[in-house]
Amino acid sequence: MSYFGDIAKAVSTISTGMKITFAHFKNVGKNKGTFTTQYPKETLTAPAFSRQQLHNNIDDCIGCKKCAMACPVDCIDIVTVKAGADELSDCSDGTKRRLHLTVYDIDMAKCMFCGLCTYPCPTHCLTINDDHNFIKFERSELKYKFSAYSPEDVVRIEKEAAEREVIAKAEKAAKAKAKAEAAAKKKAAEVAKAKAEAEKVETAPEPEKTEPKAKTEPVAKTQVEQVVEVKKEEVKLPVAEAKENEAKAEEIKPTEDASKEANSDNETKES
Amino acid sequence: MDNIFLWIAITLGAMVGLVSVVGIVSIYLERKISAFMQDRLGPMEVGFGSLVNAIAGKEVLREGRIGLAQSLADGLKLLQKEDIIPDGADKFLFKLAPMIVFAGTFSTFAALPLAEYFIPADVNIGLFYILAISSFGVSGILMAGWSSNNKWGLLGSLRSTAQMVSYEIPVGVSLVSIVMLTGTLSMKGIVVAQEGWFWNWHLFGAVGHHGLIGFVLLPMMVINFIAYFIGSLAETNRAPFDIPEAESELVAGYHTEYTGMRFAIFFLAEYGAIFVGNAIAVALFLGGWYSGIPAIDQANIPGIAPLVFILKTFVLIFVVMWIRWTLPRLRVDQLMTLCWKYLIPFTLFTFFSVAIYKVFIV
Ligand code: SF4
Ligand code: SF4
Repeated sequence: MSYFGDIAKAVSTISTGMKITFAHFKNVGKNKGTFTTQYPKETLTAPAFSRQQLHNNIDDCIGCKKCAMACPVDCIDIVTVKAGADELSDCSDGTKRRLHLTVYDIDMAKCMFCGLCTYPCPTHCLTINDDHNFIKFERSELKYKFSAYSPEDVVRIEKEAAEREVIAKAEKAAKAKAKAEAAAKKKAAEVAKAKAEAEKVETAPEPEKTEPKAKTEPVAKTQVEQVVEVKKEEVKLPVAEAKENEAKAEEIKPTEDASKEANSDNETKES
Repeated sequence: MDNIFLWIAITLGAMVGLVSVVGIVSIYLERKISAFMQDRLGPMEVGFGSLVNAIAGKEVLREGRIGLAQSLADGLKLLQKEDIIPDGADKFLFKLAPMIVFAGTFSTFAALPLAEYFIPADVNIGLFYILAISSFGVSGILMAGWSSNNKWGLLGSLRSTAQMVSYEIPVGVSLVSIVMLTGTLSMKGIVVAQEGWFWNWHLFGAVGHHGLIGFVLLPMMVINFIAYFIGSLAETNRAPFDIPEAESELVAGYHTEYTGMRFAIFFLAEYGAIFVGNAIAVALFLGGWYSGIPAIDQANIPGIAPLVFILKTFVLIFVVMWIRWTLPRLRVDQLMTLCWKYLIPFTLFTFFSVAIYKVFIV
């Protein structure tokens, strides 16, 4: 009888299955009847703590590049330029900002959404949020540029930075010069002193114990005076020299500027 | 003579239109029904609203909400696709195959009794003609599989052939019972025999014509109908008998190598064949163009008869789709078991019962 038993079983199982599918057919459009969403018109909210899109609050970024170093796939590209004193406002948490972020790009096409870049950020400005709506037609459009500066701004900032660099170099040179002068004067003084002592030794060899002390004191005073003078010179010098240098820089044109910029870039990168 | 050519042209045009419309509507229904059964929404974007807007270049109609024009859009898309013929293919057969498959389906429409006044060709061997022509498509399928020079294509077409040849038998035998009962092979004659109340339909044993003794026929006819229905599913390669194009095993079966419009023609032919298979079931078992209530049939509403016929057919097509999205695919051996061990004995039994009824009782 298993022949008819099989038929009965087939009929009952088929009708059970058909009932189930018909129940689903009936429920379409009702609450919980449909499990898909009409995507561009309706969107689901992503689960809490899901990692979807990186956002950098650029006003709080200090350009420390810790995020770029943490990224396993190197999708964060940062270029910084040193800022002048008080040129940038502080971060919202009070951290000083000393670098202009001329480039801060995140290539979301490379990103694997691990979120590792967000952990080392000292100012908590780099965050990964649940906004998953970033469909683009070109892969290049997935490169998100967070830098607040326009290309003209970048050119200006780099130029200013290069100028500051020149000034700083001039200052350094002036300092070195002043130091050298001071050292030379000191040496001259020492030489003079030695001469005087020698003379003294020649003229009065006997009163040895008391006189040398009395005579060294004026020499020391003259040294202090000289240092003060040198400092005054330092303050005056840079301005003049900087003006000279500026004129030179304008004469010598971009090639040198570019090399200087490159230098400054290298320096910032090294830092 | 002019009139004959005009008649041929009109009929051909109407039939081509009917086949395309039936194909497009069935494909749309299939997508919607499958989506609903799987808790999805199916095509929702392309409606006639967006078509009109695209043509007018501005917002004329509200965007389509239920994707009514999806099949049209897909057809347009397929029309633009590259027509690829594989290097190793038998080019002549490859090009011929879709035409033969489509012709096989298309020709059967000629004998479908859509209404008493609307049968393109009311031949006296209508049923015989339909059975013969619809099996003609299988040679197209075999050609497609063979000429593609593709192992999946060939396997698919071999399976299809084996399946069709086996299932011709229960289908044929179950239909012969009806022919015996009505004494005619003409589609029109068979439908006219079911006039009147719905209990005159052959599915219900044509009780009205045969009196109470007709109740003896009822179980026979139900068995016949189920056997025919299962057989027509198998003949049109529908799930759960879709092993010729089993996606998970054979990529796409016999039309693996076909692209663009040639593929679309296969697709259209498949849905046309489903329509024909179910239309035969409607004509032979479900009273054809009769609505089952004499008052409606006698009210002389223009166009009601073909409408009733097509409506009934689409109800059956719904069941076909419902089955497709419910049941898993049969293995080849299970397919053969079902045919040879179950359907053929049952249809033979009903065949002899009806023969005995016809000879001794009526
Ligand atoms: S989420 Fe991961 S991959 Fe993406 S930028 Fe951050 S560290 Fe790199
Ligand atoms: S770690 Fe934070 S502060 Fe540092 S560069 Fe990245 S985003 Fe800016």
